[in-house]
Amino acid sequence: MTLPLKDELDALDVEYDRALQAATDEQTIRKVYADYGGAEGAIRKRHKAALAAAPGPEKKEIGKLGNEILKRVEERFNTRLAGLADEARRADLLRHVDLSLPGRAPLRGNLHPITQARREIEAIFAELGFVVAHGPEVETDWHNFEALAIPADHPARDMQDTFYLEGRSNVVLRTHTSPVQVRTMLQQQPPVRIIAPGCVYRKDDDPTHSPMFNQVEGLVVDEGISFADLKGVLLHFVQRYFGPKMGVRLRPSYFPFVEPGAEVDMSCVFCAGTGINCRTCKQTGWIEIGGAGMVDPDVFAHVNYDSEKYTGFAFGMGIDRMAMLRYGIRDIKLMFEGDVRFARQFP
Amino acid sequence: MKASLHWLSELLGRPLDADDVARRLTLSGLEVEGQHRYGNFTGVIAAELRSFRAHPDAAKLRLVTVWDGTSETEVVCGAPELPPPGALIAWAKPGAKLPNGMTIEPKAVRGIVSPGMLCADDELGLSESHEGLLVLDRVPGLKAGDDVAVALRLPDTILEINVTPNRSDALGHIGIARDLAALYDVPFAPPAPPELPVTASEASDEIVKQLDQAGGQRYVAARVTGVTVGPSPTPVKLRLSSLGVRPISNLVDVTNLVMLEWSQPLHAFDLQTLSLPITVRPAAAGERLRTLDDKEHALLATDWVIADEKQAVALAGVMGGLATEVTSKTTDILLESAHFAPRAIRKTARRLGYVSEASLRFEKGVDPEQTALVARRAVQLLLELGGGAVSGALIDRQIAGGIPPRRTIALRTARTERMAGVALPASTQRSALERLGFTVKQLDDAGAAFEVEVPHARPDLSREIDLIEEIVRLVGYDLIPATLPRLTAVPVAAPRLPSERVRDVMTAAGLHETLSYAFGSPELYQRFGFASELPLANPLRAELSALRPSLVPGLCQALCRNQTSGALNVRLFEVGTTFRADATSETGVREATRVAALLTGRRAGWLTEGEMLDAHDATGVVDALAASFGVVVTRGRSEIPWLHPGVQASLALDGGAELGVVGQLHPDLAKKLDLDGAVFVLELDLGVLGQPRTAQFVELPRFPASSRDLSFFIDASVSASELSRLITSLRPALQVGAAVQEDFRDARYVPAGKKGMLWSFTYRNPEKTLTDADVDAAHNGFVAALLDQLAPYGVAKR
Repeated sequence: MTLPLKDELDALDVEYDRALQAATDEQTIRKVYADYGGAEGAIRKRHKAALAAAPGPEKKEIGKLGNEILKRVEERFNTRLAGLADEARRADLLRHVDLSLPGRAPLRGNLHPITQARREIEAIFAELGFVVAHGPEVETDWHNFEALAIPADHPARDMQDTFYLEGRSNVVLRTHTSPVQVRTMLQQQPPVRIIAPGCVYRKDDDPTHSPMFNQVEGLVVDEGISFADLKGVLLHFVQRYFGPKMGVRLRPSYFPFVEPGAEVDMSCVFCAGTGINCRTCKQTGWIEIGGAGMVDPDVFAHVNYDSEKYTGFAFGMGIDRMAMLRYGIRDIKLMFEGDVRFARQFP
Repeated sequence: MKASLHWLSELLGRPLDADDVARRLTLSGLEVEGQHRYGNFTGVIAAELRSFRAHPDAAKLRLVTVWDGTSETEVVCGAPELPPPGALIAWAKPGAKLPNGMTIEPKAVRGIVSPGMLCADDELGLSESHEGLLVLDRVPGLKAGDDVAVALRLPDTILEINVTPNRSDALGHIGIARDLAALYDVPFAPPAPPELPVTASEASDEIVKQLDQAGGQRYVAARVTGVTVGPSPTPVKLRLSSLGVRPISNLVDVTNLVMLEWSQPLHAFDLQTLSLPITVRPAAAGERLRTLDDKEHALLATDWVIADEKQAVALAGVMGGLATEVTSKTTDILLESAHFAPRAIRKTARRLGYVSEASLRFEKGVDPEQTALVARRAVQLLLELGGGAVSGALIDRQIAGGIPPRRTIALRTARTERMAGVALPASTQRSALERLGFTVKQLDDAGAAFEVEVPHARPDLSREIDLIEEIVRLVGYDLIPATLPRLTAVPVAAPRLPSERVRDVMTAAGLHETLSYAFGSPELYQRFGFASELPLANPLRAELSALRPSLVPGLCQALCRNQTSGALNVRLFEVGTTFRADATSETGVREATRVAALLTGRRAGWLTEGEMLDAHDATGVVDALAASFGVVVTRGRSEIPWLHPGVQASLALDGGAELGVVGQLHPDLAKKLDLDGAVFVLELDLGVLGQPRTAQFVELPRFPASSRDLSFFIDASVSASELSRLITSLRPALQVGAAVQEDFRDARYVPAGKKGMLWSFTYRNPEKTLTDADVDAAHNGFVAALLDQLAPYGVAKR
């Protein structure tokens, strides 16, 4: 055994050790290891050469010497790597992030309050077995008026200021969703149980009216349908949508296509129906939400339903008004301006 | 319709509680929308004006000596004109409370202490008038020192009643009183004016000739001569004022008072200006008439007129003629009480824009049974207030055969119960009808069927269902229980447009939903190059005068408002109806449901602003929609004039049906619309998009995938969409995906007219792990084929 080889390897080992300690990142550490302990590393190469040159009997001892050194080289490499990871871990754990800063907002849009209200309304009526029906917004005078027992020159036409299409005196923007009743009954025989939400148009423009607004129409026709059923369905709806303590009041009124006809009032949502100092309900405790009644036999006649066999009820309510009551919106115009400051308030 | 509680109370002969009356009327169909107190003051006494002198220190004030029955007092008064000495006036003494809440105290006015004030109408809340002092003229029993409120029976409560178009009877106090009598179940007898001699004989042709069904059913005329036209007594004036009618003269006031009582409009002609006889007839074509408002009208054959021997003297039921108008000098009058045909009156009133209290009542239908009675009532009041005498008999002209008999309507009481959904004994039903003044004939012992005779005062009742409503409203809707209808299977509706799914995709993509008006400005639409196909005949205003052909203009307007209010990062969408002319449609209009979106500004950043949005944000929304619907939406070349010529594409359903467009709003248009920055928009037709395809599960891969890249130059005109389609068509068996990684156009590295692209292709064998050799073989073959196909487009591998 030649001592010079051990010295030589030890010297390289010291050199390796110094380089290893000097290295501060993983990449350098790996390089240092490769330069000394790797397949092409100085220590391994020197050891390999010595082993090859050594006479037979010495091979065993030289091999042992080299393996021990190389083992230590690898151990220190691993320790150094682990130390580095540990340093990184410690440093990471010392990090402090101020989570009271605003979060990074995920991209998020939202539905218009009218859509939200409409979806809830549809879902509530779906529970009662209503299906959703739609009809055109530009209607014939016949569907919008005549078939609903509002002939030309009828004083009831004054109740709704109608938009007409230029050059087509018999074409109107529908003034209510009621023509969907007519279209549905013309297409099918009873039983009928539909709601028809949609845009309607009236020549009205003041702080509480918009020339376009949204209504939901309901129609039930079957044998044995009564005014009491109408009351029950409206009560169910109001209590599901506005809360179980809400009441419904029907007051006699006049719509040519229903009889007996009614205005539908519900408990005022602002004063919980007490009326005390309430400006919204003018101290009555009630607010009007729509019209309703039993389908007039004249309407059945227009759609060829046998009014002796079948009875039915219909109702119409303002979706926009529901949404306004629900969300406390006072000005209907805001609904149709597309202001993002408004939109963001209904997540 | 305003109604006086006192008047109703007088008609019913019993005291009434305002709140209870309001509640009962509201719950039975005559909605009381509001009520207010009229003449709500105390401590005001009647004082006789004795004399006055000028205020020593104020030119416009006077010191008025009044006598209160026991002593004289001097009160400071600012009225410019004073009634003559002897007149009774209203003196609010210290302690008096006025309707505005003020309590009168002695007060020094320019150095002289005034013990209260002398009141004008408005100060007592009696009318708007502040012209002079209230003179208490012909108030029965009133003398100096009496309490004015007590003498005038003030305060009264005025009810504001919303009378629905079917209830013409409730446009008069008698009709309202009749409903109240039924509700309180008390007897009711309307006032019965003294009888007058009546003639309907041929001799009456001297005054009224000819009447036919199309014009009306009855025409009653009374001649009163020697009338003195002058102001009405204070109580009459106040009654009119309290109901919102301005007192004019005793003659005019009588006609208004009687109309408010019976809902029957009256007209008075100056008898001396008429050349009798008069005729009720359709206007002759081209006939002219100058009406009370001094306007001359060319009449149509659909207008009905009252004509004398020479000419038309009034538009029947609509407006009187100027030539025969009563004036302050009139002494002899012809008083008209008539039933005119509703349709005729409505037509003329609407055409000429003369919708009045009178025409509204005629067009809803007045009661032909009471035409003569109302005339007698008017004569009675006229003689009382204006003196004079009735000349000759009351002329009562009716259509041939007389006015039609009262309607008789059959009622099945079981039908009422079926409609109401509650048991209602026949006796209850009968009572309700009888309380309303109808005659009920019971046809069987059990009360299963009635025959009900209804008066003409209720033209709205002609069918069984009308009677059912009367019964139910009188019984009270509150007594009907709430039940739920029996649940029966109903036919499933046709599948709906996928609007809801689209809304969900849009909100998930970070867009806010908005709703715009379905009509807008044709000028705005023209800026986009849309023809204004569907204008409204009667728009509210020009900016809302045509149906929208697209949702994009509305979104742009919303953006403009947002930018004005300082919002620069705006992402909006709308799902709504658009309209196009279509001659094949029933209405001449084809409706489509579309979705449109608009994006502008920056992406969300953290603590600072994010990057600017670009057109790929808009196509990303399209891709999200396509993914949600399980469809491929391809982009094609387009030349939409309102989009940026280089930043736009048409959208199609997998290269087929045209779906919509996407791109950047043309900068010139954006500028014209006052929009800042690059605005990206898209619009799709949901009818074309159709229902979402039901997703089909694909087994999850069990073996790893490998990818290979391909980088090349190619003509810049070749679109990614076209390449994608070609790649799909050439796809080898093992290739499972292809994606663009880079699209670079930096002129320093890319030849002119070319673009550089980097695509990444993914390979996988579902059965086993692929070897590099397998992948290379598949990829190289594919690349060779691809480059071959792309050769005409100057492709060059990099």
